[in-house]
Amino acid sequence: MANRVAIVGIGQTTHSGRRPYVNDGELIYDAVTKALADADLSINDMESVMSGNMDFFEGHHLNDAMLNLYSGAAGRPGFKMNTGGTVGTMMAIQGWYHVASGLYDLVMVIGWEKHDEGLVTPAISTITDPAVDRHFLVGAIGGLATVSVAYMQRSGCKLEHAAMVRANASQAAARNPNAHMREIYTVEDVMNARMVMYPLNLLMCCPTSLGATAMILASESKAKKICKKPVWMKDHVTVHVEYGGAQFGIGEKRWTSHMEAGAKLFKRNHITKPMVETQVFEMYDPFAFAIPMWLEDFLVCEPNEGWKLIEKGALKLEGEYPVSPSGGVLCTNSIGDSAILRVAEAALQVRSDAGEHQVTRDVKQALASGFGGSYWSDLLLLSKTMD
Amino acid sequence: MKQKPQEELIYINKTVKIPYKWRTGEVWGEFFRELKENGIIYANQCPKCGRQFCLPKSVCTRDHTVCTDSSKWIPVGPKGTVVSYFMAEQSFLLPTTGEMLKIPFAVGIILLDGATVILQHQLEETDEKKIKLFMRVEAVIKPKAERKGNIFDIVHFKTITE
Amino acid sequence: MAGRVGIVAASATKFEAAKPYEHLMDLVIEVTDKVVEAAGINLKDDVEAVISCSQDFWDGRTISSMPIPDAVCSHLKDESKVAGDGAYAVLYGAMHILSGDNKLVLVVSHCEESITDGTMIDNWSIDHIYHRWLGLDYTMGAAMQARRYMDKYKVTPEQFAKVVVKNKGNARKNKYAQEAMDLTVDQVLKSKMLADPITALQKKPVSDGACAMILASEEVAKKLTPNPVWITGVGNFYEHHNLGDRDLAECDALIKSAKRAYKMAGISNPVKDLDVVELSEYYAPEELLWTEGLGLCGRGEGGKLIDSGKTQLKGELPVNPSGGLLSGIPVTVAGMTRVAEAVWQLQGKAGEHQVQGARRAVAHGCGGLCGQMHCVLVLEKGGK
Repeated sequence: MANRVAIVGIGQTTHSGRRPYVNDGELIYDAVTKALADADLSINDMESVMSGNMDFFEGHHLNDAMLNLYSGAAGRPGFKMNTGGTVGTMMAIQGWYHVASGLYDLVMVIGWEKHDEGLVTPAISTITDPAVDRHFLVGAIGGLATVSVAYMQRSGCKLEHAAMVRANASQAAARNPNAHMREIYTVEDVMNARMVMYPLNLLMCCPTSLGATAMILASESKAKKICKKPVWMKDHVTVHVEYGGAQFGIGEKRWTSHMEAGAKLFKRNHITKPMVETQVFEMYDPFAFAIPMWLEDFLVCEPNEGWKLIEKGALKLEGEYPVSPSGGVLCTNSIGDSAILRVAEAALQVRSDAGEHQVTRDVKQALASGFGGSYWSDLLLLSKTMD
Repeated sequence: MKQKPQEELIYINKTVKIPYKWRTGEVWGEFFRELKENGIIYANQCPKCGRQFCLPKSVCTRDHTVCTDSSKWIPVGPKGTVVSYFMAEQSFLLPTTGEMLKIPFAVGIILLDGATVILQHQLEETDEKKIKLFMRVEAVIKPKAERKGNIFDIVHFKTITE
Repeated sequence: MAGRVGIVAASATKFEAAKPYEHLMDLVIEVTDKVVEAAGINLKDDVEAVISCSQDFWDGRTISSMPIPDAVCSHLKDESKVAGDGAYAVLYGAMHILSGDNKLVLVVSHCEESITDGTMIDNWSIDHIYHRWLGLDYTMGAAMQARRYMDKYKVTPEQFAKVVVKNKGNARKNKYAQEAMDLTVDQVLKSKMLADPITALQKKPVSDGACAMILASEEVAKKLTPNPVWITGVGNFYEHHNLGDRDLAECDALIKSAKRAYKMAGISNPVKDLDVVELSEYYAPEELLWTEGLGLCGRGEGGKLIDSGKTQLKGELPVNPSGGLLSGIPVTVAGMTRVAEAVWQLQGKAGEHQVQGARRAVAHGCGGLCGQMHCVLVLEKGGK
């Protein structure tokens, strides 16, 4: 029987393209101190400190050990996990297992990335096998472009819808002081941006940002004692798929990791109307087609309906079902941090602490997702109450 | 006392160059050998579910059945269908060579005739307007004397009309 | 700990200095198939989650678990990757079971050290502001640690050499071992000097291989085997990274890890309560220091312990009867192989290097410069 786990502290750094006056460790320290302040705890209360990040992006091997002075892991338990884009949600899940197993009561998880200290696209290109496909992937954008093309073809979604997504995201990010790209763009601005890889132009791809997010997780008994507004990590699903991601439904019904994750999570939690029974979704959206395509893939809305919801304005901050009201990964992408930031932002929404980008609906349950690797997905369900 | 940041920061610029000798393993080794010796692209078939993998796999990804039985290797292609594609119009650093990518660079997700699992490779066509989903392509394979037994023995996939 | 986690079976490849005909995934497939067979389960239907363990820098691949789903049939399943020593992956697998989320998990680790230059990889794990540019690597770190250890506690190079003689000699009796040698202390000390006092034979050889195990809830483990091995205690801690913040002759992180694990397992006297120890000695001097950290002798008495003969294969408390890392084990996989060896000891499957009647074992994994992080697991024989 699992111990219930709550998020009792959240800290995130501001995100930017460059921050040369701060080194990796100081970036982590920034997030850690903010999380501790938010929870009104000290580092000495932490029973384990775990940090996750992708090695090649900054060029450091074993960097959880290298930076443990700043994270507070020095002299404490902890270990590193890294699964690509999903590393952030992996950290939240790793923290969950630490507490749910009964081995720890109060732990800190950190996700961080400092992209201004490395080159991200060549590093991402190395996710492929050197013998067979390393020359044919140009960073994350290549793969995401291929699924965008396929989505447009099968669903009727147009470039204009992707442009609307980006324009909406910019409105949301403008209200989030921690987001990286906060300029407001119109649909026309987005349509006119420089093409990077058809159909993704510069504004339809996420930026490379830097930042860190720390969250403090506690067991039920601890959370009830120390936290006024615990956010319960009600459930989480991780789904990995075969290399190549089964994205195109060749010779079979298309069934992706997102679909499996959504199906499992909603079934286990008796959710039949996700857009009613959850009130906000912080989605890992690294490109503009992600929101409509993956809202369908996560089984939150019907197939081929995602882009229609965009047209109706339903997914905006003030809309019927806000998706990524923080501006999402489209406006802020520090890979080791991006997924954990989705969980943190969803938790802020549940706590009604998201400030200017708080959604208008009363949030009882929120969804947060992570994406990465060979089209792998994590999906988490956060809740204001335990049940 | 906190000092104001100086105008000139100290930067340490370093390119990570680490030597690697990656293995192909026997299954891909066999694939490349056939490509080099005979100019044939092979797929292998899972004896249980019948899926045909090109590039070949040692075990089936869905049911873990061993697929190394050489009697089940089947030639596929050289024609195929473009299931999806991307075209890079911005250059990036290539991690294997340290050089900048020559653009425009188009890559297709290609389903070779006879295969059930896709292959990724370069497309000859670099005019984005001429690349269409589900268009037909054919592998252009180097002449035998030039083949080395690697993925570049397939130069790229040219568009064909059928 | 609420409920118990059982290790049903463990498997490993033969470890070799190089495996040029095997793709990393071939190694993963090999150990996965072996462990699934040993456990008597179906990989696709019974394994609920997979925890892999590998390092991006060693594999030369960002997200080094990219090809894992193909190799372990985890399409549409829960799978994650620990980026640290294999012992942490076993710990994480145990957490999956203790949380009640899963009843049966596969834990697998792989590394082919021979594909790259280990000195460079080690160097890239050292802080990039100060120490990386000195060209520091783990051998130099081990040399500094050995020196400090010799200075503070008067251990001697001969005592370090005895570790090599013992472990490489034990390797003769281990069918998975890469490098078994019959050596004298003198031969060890006269081998090529790498960084004083670390001579070539005192450094773990470069190695390729993989290891896997099946962990299950108590109920499932009992159904699958009459001899499950229970994980009864766990503990893991980090030291500081900056060498200046540490006294290299001390190993507080290991002491704390062992203490926590022993407390959980109800071990009050490690020497009496344990029957076999498998620890991670990347360099010979480390074994002496880690025996102190594990409480097998007093502080500073690691040298006396090896002299006493107690840790020999036929001694009172055999340490590394498998041959340890000095017999040739790759980094990352290392900690998991220590757990595997302990499992085989407790299941009576250790063959020629079996410690008779072994009921309780401790397995230790570590990583980083001068053993910066440690993970200790206490294992107990289940069944009759």
